Amino acid sequence: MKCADRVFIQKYIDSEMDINTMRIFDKHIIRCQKCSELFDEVESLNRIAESKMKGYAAFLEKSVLKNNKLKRQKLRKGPGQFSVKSGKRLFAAKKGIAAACILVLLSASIAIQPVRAVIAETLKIFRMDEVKGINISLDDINMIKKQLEQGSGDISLDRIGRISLVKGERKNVAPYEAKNKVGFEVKYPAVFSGAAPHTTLMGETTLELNLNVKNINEVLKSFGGEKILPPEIDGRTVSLDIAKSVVTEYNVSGVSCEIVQTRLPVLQVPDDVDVDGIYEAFLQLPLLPDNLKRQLKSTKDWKSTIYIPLIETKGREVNINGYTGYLYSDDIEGTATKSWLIWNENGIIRGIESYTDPEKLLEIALSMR
Amino acid sequence: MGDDLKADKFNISELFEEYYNQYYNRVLMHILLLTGDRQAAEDIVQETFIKLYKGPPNHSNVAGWLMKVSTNLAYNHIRREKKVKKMDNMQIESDNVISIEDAAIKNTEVRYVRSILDGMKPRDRICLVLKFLGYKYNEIAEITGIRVSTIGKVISRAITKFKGKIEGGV
Repeated sequence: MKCADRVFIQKYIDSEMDINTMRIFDKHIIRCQKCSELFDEVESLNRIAESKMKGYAAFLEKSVLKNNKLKRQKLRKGPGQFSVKSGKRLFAAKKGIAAACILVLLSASIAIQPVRAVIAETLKIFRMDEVKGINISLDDINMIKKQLEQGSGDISLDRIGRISLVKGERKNVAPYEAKNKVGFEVKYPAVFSGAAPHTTLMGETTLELNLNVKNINEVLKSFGGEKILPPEIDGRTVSLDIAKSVVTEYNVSGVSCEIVQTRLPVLQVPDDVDVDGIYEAFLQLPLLPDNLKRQLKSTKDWKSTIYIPLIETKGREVNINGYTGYLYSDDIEGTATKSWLIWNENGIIRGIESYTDPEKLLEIALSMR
Repeated sequence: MGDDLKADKFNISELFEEYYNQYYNRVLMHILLLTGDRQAAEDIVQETFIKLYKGPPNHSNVAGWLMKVSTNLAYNHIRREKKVKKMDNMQIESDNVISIEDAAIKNTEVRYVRSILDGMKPRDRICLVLKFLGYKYNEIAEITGIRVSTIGKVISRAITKFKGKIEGGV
């Protein structure tokens, strides 16, 4: 036979050739010094590489084991997100409410309900320091939805805890009177100048949440959560104080829109309650898509952040005179376009919603003085 | 009728969990060897299982399927990384370049192996790792999509990278 090259010898070592060819080479190598030397070289390299790779693999394995705790956690958070815990009763989400309560607790308002409602919720409930867009794809939403819908049972708000809303007084005021009553600058769109808006002043509102830890933990577990809430917070009250707000409604040449303006709200939690623990407990729920978790985790101070879901194709970031805003539009069953816009202007949240196209809404927002 | 449907769903998810528990570590180790980057490896394994959930293979060789899918993802990852690194630093091709992550590893031998692996062409690296994981050439070909006839050449070339640097590394 012809003398062998490296590749041939490699295949020979790896037994990747038919037995006859191997036999022929066996005979050849005895008589051929060149092949014998090359064989020794390749064989030795192969052995070295093998031992190095083994050492490397062992090191990696050890490091994996060392981080076992961490890993187990990650494992849970991992594709387990799609594994429905067997044997356990699943609490199905009667879409809106169940989703809303998990998500309100999370303060990440992911749209299981129509986005519009979520934005409205966000506007009326969680207003903090910062408004931050969270990217989420429709696939992700559907995946969460699917998970929530799987199984039987029910989650209702009263299982999670007691939510009480102490609504502030609502009163109609003269269009420009509101300005003096809320303690912050109320702006009006210049494009509607001359029109008198219907103005409503909303008093301070408090949303109180009494957690039923046992039930919440049951829900967390049923969705594959490993971390559960500490028993100490059972029955404790978390409250969200919402400042006065002004709602101005315009109806100008067939376009009606509603503008809400308010200060950022304050979240109040008893001193000894570990809010980060609560947040983490929800964050680790396997049903949250990982990219969402990552985004939520990367927020430095989640306690003072309102999350606005930026659903692909439906929402986008816009610039409102130097402030970041989030603009959405949705076709309501093909008949009309509903748009809404929310932005944070130095601690004042302003939101507009209207049955008009998003560009028009942006124009209104940009003209606010 | 509704119960049957539910039972069916239940089994699929139960099976998925079983696969997950059974193969997660194995696939993770495998991908760790390929990428050398834990975060990336975990992401890849994750993505692989998501793919399994979304569209399980229509044959019973789930383990093989997982290896194939995860390897391909790792392959893409390595190629992508390589491109980025190339743009960042044209010198990265050199075998002795040690990344920041590497610097955290005190074990010189591990660092040495990693630098060799990082210096390889992505497909060489994949083939080499698979070989040392015990795969036969035809299986490597099946996983990577590289022709069987080429595998020997690729592995032979990859192995020569271990030549002459042992002394310096250990």
